Amino acid sequence: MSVVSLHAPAPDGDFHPPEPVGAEARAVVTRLRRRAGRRVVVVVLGLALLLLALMAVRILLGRYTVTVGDFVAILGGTQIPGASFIVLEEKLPRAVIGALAGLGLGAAGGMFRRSLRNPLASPDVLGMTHGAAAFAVGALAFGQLRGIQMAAAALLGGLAATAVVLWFSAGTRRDTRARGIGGDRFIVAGIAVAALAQAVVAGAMLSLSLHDLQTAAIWTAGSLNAASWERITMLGVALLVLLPVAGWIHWAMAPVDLGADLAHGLGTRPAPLVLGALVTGAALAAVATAATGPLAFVALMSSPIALGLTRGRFSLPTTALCGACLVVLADFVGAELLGVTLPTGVLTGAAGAPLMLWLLLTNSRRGNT
Amino acid sequence: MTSTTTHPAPGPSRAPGPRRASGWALSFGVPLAVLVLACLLAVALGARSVGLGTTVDALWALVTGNADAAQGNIDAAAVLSRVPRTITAVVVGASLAVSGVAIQGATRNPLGDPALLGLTAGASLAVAIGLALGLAGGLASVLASSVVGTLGAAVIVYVVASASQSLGGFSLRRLTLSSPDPLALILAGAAVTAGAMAGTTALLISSPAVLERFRFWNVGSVARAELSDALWLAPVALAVILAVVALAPGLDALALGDDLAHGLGANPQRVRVSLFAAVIVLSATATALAGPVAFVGLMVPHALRRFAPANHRELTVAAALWGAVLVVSADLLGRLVIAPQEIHVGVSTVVLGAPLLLVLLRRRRFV
Repeated sequence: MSVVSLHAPAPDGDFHPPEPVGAEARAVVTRLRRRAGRRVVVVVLGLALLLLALMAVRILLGRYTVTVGDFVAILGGTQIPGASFIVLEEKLPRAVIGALAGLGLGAAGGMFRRSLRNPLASPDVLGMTHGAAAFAVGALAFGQLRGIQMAAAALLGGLAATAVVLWFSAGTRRDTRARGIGGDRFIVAGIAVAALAQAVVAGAMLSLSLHDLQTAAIWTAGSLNAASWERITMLGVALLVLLPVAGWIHWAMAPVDLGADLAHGLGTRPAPLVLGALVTGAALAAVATAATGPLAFVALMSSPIALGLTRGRFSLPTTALCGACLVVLADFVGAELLGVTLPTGVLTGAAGAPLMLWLLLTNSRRGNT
Repeated sequence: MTSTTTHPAPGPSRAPGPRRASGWALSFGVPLAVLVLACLLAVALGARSVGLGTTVDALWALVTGNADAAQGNIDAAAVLSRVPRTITAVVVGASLAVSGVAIQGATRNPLGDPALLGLTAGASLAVAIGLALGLAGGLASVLASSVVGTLGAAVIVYVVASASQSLGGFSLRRLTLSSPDPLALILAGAAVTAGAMAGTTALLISSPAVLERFRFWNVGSVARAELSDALWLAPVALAVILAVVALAPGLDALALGDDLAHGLGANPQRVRVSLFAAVIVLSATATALAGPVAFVGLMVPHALRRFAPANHRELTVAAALWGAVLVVSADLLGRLVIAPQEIHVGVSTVVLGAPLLLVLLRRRRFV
């Protein structure tokens, strides 16, 4: 790229040869792009630091405080009566599973946001998390499945909910081709699926024994109470597989932002990419739900926050980290700061509902359907 | 029932269908007979099923005031124990179905349902707040807080949905009582529902007084109904339903759009405000009695329009009766399917209604 002074002299009435103007424009674009790219890097680093800080707060502070020295010693293997148990079996697993589930939900929100281009179309509004919860509770109630099989059932549930929502909102094939998938019918179909799934959860809870009822209670409102190292491993492995796939699809979808026609012209095929994005997004939301229950609105909240931070640039790591920060923060507030212990999903739901109304208000969605 | 042909369409019908000569016999006589039959079955069948003769005897004893004497007989006692929930189911079903008709007509929105629009969730939250603040758990205070919650939810949903349509920002002054986009209404309703449910759960966990009442009320259910509550609220619901029947010609006019309704001599704003008031009272009544029961208001009018797309007066009456039939039989089936336990009404109506919403979405084009 030719080096042209960016502080070109002001136009003085003379002819300018056309070539340097083009080069100048190109340089300006490059500079702006670099600046935006740098901004994303700074935001991602900042969010990562924030997440670490929040996790540290979650582990060290609260009703039972742990000093940094003790924490390091416990991690090193020293047994401190009381503190060791609380850190290793309660605080650390909660912080880790909260961060992981938040990463998954945030990434899912990012995938849906970029592929459907509707800020309201997030997996928790569209019933994917509820579908996953319904299948998981069903597996527990009717098949006595636990552990990894229950997680598999949740994954299946998330995908089934996606399929149902897609099928019922797609309309005729000609419709789909003309308007693409997405739009508000999609969201209403998701609301119906979510209602159905919640009813299934409520019904299936009836046929559970009291012991299972305790574990199943997290399926109505998501909660980190069931955090265990087994679940953390499961969720971690699933994210290790899914996040790189999601990252690739998210990157490859860049031309789709310009609209289906232009994307075709640029040599990409939007439809398979969008479908792939939806499937990976649903899978991410489902595995996170399998570990923590349906944490309401985390996916919905993280993509607008991330877009605000990056000034409108889509960035998957940013949304994922936003989700993680939200969940860890909500868990700390719900478990330690209030007078009563509230499930994490209740707090995220309470925070997300006003945001959803605000999104409805600010997005003039005319012509979206 | 005399099969009189209906008088030649005083108000234009909403959707002029091919079969509308059947008239009042179809919209009144048939559902009334079915409702009586369903109620008889509902009090007779259950964990201990009772023959029809004993059932009628026990009911007769209740009516003539000899209920205490009948309690000695186990079969009669079983019948009498099922009377409160059956009456509650009738009131809840009729109220919800009629409020569905009223919402769908007033907003010209085929997807109108008190639960879909967040009204029942708002009512639940308000009742929970009332209980947490230590207001007595009596029916009057529950009903009052239920009305307040329904009203609050309705205002939020309506304002947000109307405002989301106006391009270029939101201003209260430009807000008119027009009919917002059905999908915007449902989205706003979903947001309000989610927020209210989160609030209700939080109160449920933090306050024992709320938990005590809500343990059986979180999911819509008539299992714990009290006879006195149902008998106290039944006249309220009946009065409001009759008011909606009286307003039905206005609904017929609204169906043509505000301009034509004006031309026909109706005042669209006034009709709408009265209908909204009716919807709020009806849905608050139903929620105060049974908790959140969803999709009845969506299912019944839609099912009826397929058969008797007559004027709104017939539709309202038929919807009240068929709504009662729906909730009574949902309660009955919920008791019979997994016998020692029950599927609550709130669960079974959603299982029936959510697929209907999906099918409606697939069939029709909204917006």
